[in-house]
Amino acid sequence: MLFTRAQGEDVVELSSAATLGTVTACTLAPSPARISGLRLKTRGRGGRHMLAWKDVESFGPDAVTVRDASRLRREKEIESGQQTHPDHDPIGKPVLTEAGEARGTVLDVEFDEQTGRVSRLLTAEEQFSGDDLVGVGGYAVVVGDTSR
Amino acid sequence: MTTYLRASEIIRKPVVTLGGEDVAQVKDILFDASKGRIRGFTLTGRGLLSGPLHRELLWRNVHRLGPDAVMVRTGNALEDDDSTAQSAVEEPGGGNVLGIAMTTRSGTRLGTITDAIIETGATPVVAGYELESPGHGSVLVPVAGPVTVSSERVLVPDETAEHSAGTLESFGTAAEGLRRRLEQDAQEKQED
Repeated sequence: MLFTRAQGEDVVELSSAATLGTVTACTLAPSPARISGLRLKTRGRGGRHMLAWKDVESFGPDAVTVRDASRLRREKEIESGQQTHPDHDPIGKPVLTEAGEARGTVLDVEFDEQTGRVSRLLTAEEQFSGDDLVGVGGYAVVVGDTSR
Repeated sequence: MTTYLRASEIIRKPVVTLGGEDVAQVKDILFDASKGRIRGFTLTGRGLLSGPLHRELLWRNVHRLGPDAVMVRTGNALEDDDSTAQSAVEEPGGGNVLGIAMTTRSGTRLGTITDAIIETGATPVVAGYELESPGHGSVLVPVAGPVTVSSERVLVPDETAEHSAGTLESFGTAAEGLRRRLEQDAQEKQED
């Protein structure tokens, strides 16, 4: 599934069937490349929240379910070293190879909604295998120097 | 693939970790002209009004020098200003080569150095210089063979003058041509 298709999906609490928020973005972690968390826009809960991938019960075609609202964390409270820190959001970031060459901007991420594994990163011109992902930081998405 | 960069283009490039964080920006190049090597970089912080970072990036800590960024493994690659890095700047021939003359061993002045040409990759070297040459404008000349540097001039083999290039794209051919020529000359000397 492409991540841009998941943007806007409701995040639903299983215990109450209430909508907690909507998916706006994700964070990635490398080796193996995977979605580490979902960034949410929440209503009446004070801004942006993060849902760690391990707390996702199910990633369906129309909604993401979570056991209960206590799994959500305020984005502001996440420290910079953590895998779900918003710095690890890849969309809109430049791709740099580990050799220091710029290769476009990440527009989309193809992932498996069962496991969260990332198969491909897409730019306007190219696609990079998830296996080539080295890191995602506040400045850039770094990929191995192998693919061209 | 060999890529050539002007040293001036490296200045202000971001220093980026393999984790994708920009930890600094290149302020200047610590350059050892006599050995043709880059010793490292001095740094400034990222952002419009950030001042100098009193830290240096030594070459051994650079992962790769690319056309768009200087890559390091982690932010730990930056070293606090230390005496070894400082003394590099003070060493004769380790300072600024901009504005000094390039002269052949037989005494022809080729021009004034305006930039250095860096061959990027895993082990970057100074592959040549850009000169402002009277009558010829800007030319790129490769360096190979015995090169001697003082605070006044860079002395190069006579053959250098015959292997210059007009653009970075054609510089590789010129550098290769000079290298072959000097090898040939060396062989002929041995045979004599």
